[in-house]
Amino acid sequence: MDPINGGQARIMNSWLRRWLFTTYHKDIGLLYFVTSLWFGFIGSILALLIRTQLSVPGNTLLSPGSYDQAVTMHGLIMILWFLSPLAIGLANYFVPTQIGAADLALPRLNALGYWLYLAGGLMAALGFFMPGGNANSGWTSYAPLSSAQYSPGPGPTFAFAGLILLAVSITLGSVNFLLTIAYLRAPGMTFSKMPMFTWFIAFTMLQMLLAFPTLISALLMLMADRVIGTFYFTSSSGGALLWDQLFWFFGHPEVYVVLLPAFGVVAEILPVFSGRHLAERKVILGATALIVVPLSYLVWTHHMFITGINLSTQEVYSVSTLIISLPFDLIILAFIGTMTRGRISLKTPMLFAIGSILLFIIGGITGVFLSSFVLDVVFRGTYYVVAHFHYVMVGAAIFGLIGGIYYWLPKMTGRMYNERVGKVHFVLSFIGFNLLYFPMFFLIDMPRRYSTYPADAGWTGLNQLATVGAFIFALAQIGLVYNLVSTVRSGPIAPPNPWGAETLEWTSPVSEQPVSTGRDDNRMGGSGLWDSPLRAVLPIGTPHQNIGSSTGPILGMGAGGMPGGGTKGDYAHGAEHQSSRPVSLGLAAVVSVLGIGLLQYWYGLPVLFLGGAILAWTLVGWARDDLHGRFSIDELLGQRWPFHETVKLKLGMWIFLTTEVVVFGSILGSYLFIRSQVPYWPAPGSIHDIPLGLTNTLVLLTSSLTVVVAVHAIREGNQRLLLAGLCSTFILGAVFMGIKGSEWYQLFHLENAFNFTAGLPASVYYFTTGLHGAHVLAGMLVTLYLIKRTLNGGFSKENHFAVENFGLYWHFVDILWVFIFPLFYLI
Amino acid sequence: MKIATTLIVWVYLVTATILEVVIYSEFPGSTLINLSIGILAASKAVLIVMYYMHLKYEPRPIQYLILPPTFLVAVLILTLVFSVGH
Ligand code: HEM
Ligand SMILES: [Cu+2]
Repeated sequence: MDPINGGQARIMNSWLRRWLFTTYHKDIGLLYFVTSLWFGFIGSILALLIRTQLSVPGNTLLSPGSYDQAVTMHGLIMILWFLSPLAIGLANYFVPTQIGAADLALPRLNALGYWLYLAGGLMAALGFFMPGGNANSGWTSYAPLSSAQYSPGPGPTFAFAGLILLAVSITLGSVNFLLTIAYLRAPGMTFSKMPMFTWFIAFTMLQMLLAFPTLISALLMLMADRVIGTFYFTSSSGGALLWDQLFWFFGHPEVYVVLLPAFGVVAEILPVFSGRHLAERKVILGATALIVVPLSYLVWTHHMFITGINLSTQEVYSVSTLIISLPFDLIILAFIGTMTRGRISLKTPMLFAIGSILLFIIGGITGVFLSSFVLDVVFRGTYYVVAHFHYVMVGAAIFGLIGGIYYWLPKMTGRMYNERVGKVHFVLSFIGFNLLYFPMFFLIDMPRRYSTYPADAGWTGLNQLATVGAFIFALAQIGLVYNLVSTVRSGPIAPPNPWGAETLEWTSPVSEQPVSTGRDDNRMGGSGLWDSPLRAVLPIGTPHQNIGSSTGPILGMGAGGMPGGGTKGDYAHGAEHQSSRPVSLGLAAVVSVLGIGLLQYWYGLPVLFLGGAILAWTLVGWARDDLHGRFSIDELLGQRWPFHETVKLKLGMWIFLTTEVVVFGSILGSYLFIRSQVPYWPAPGSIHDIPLGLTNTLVLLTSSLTVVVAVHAIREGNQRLLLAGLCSTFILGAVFMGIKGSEWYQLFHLENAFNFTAGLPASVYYFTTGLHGAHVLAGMLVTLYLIKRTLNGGFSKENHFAVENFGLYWHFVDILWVFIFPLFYLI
Repeated sequence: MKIATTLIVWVYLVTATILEVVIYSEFPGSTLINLSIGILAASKAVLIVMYYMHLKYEPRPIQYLILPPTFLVAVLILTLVFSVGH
């Protein structure tokens, strides 16, 4: 064999393995980072198409149909596949290093999150190439426009299914990040010392945690409508309103999800480049934690002021919207206060941070006008709104995140970027951005989402300004790309802490970059500060506080990202920390979604089966990995307050269950909404067999009892009783599913077949009990795994947390049924 | 937690379920009845969370975790049901 080629093949092979199988947070961070920029590129192309179309009145460059697709996918891709994932990329890279954790709490779940994100994005993009094109109902996917009737074809199905994958990815990610921040902080890293970026990522994750589950439920119902013909959003009994409520329950927190990471970045950059500490750190944190995060969940109907909701609801939500703007004033004042008394150094990161603040001020003020439901009636649906939210989403959020890219680039690559190019990049972006969006504030009578406008409307000049601005803004991003590429390729070696920042990430060594040429240089990256780990963990604000010298060495170890010393650079996760399962689950998702979207063709079903087979194969593999202990993580002792009394995975399960509460809460809420809207409903007992339902309820309740027995048994070390408990649980689960199946079968074969398309009562019944059944089935699969592990002697008095965690899940599924049974059978 | 507690909870769950069905079949349809069925269901849920899911014995921070989603779901449902009409 040719030795050179053989060597190259091996390098290629290990390169592929690293990026496909990695579970290491810095690698995943880079994957998110690069992928999000690509999606940003796609979104920008769509934006330029839109702006070109609108540059002259009566333009025919895009047909109305293509224009709708461009607008829809532009919004979705930019918000969900570019903006948030860019922040998640930075968070993946820097949250663990900022708090001195070796990795995220659940590395494989983290990798899975990335692959689901990518899978969803690919499916959404694929929609453009389908007959009939992509989704075209706006990023809000308003019903019934998004229904199979008005948006037929596989394209929209791919997009909506892609959204589900994305929402699942984000929900899992939020559980993971919250668990990490709660549980894996290095000794000494108390909440009061935690860096601002990590804090704001924590806030972001808190918002994602309970907002995205509603999106998941809403999209699942939408998919059911599209694929099996239920009527959640297509019925005339409030279907459109139901979508509005669910979407905006997610959608408003989502705007802060987009914004808060950028605030976190800005809060890191400002003090460093002002040469002083962040002003009013506690006020910022308090205002965000106590007002922004909770209240963000309670303002959503300000997006629905003209949908026919009643006046009292409008008043409540108008006031809550006004209130939520107050903490932002405090935050901005604190930011400005930090700068005013500082010695400001206008390096590129600082420029972008200042730009972010300025643009947020404009965006925020214009938003306050919208919160008045009187004014909103005028502005709604006009370019004024478009200007408002681009000032916050692009202006505040993207400028802030770009600042973060420049700020951390030396840490990620070990090299310096070109400052002059950076400044030009900023200036052109700032000019281009304002030229693009400021004119839109004056287009208060031009409706948005229309593909063109008449020449005599007087809108031409402002639109042309905007289009020119758009091209300047887009071309300015060449500066970013240039800086990224040239820094990685040939930037001068960066000092370990070029900005003199005080947060912990600057003490960790630069990780090896696959794109980098000089690995050896990079390794030197962070070593300069290793002699002073203490200094690094000191909070901004109390530089003299002594945290106790005994924590020093442990801290250094944590910061190195690798238990056991940091001499090799911190890419220390070898084969034992690689896993092929996450990427293979991503593949299963892609294939399954392909199958679902193509069900109308004969080959849809086989493709779906193939996806299911890959899924099953992967899950079996994942379970076997665990049975053989192939992926075990050592846990370092750390700062865990207030969760120091709880086992990590149990805490993770409880956090996960909060999302499940919202998933099913919104599904049962939809049911109640429909019941309140529909005048006629079949009487209890007339369709569903109450004795059968009662039996099934008792079966499920008893299965909870057997799980309790199983947990009890293994706590005492009784493996045989554990086995008996698990087996009974499995059998009872199977009985439950069997009865459920026979019920469905009978209903389908009623004289007036009560099938999926038999009206709203059938829709809600099949969807709710179907999703619940899927949860039971998943639980049964886990029972099988636990049984196998018990047989292998995998549990003991000391080691039984998997059983307990399964118990939590199973009881939760039981509780769901406790509500489903009376709601569907008795009332 | 003692095994006896477990059993007592189970007996309550079963009894309450049967009670739900009995109440319904005696007087179907009235708001009051629906409400009492709802309360029975909620009481079952609370018992399962407290005893089977062990929340009663968990540290405070874990206990608090479950409050925000429950509260939000309540707000969502109330808004859903009461934002139309009146
Ligand atoms: C903080 C960052 C903010 C972001 C990211 C943001 C984002 C958005 C977005 C995306 C929309 C458009 C919804 C649609 O498609 O129709 C919107 C509309 C709105 N925003 Fe903001 N916003 C922010 C801040 C604010 C603030 C501070 C307020 C008020 C105090 C506000 C009030 C509103 C209102 C009332 C609407 C509804 C306008 C309408 O569509 O009629 N926003 N915002
Ligand atoms: Cu909003």
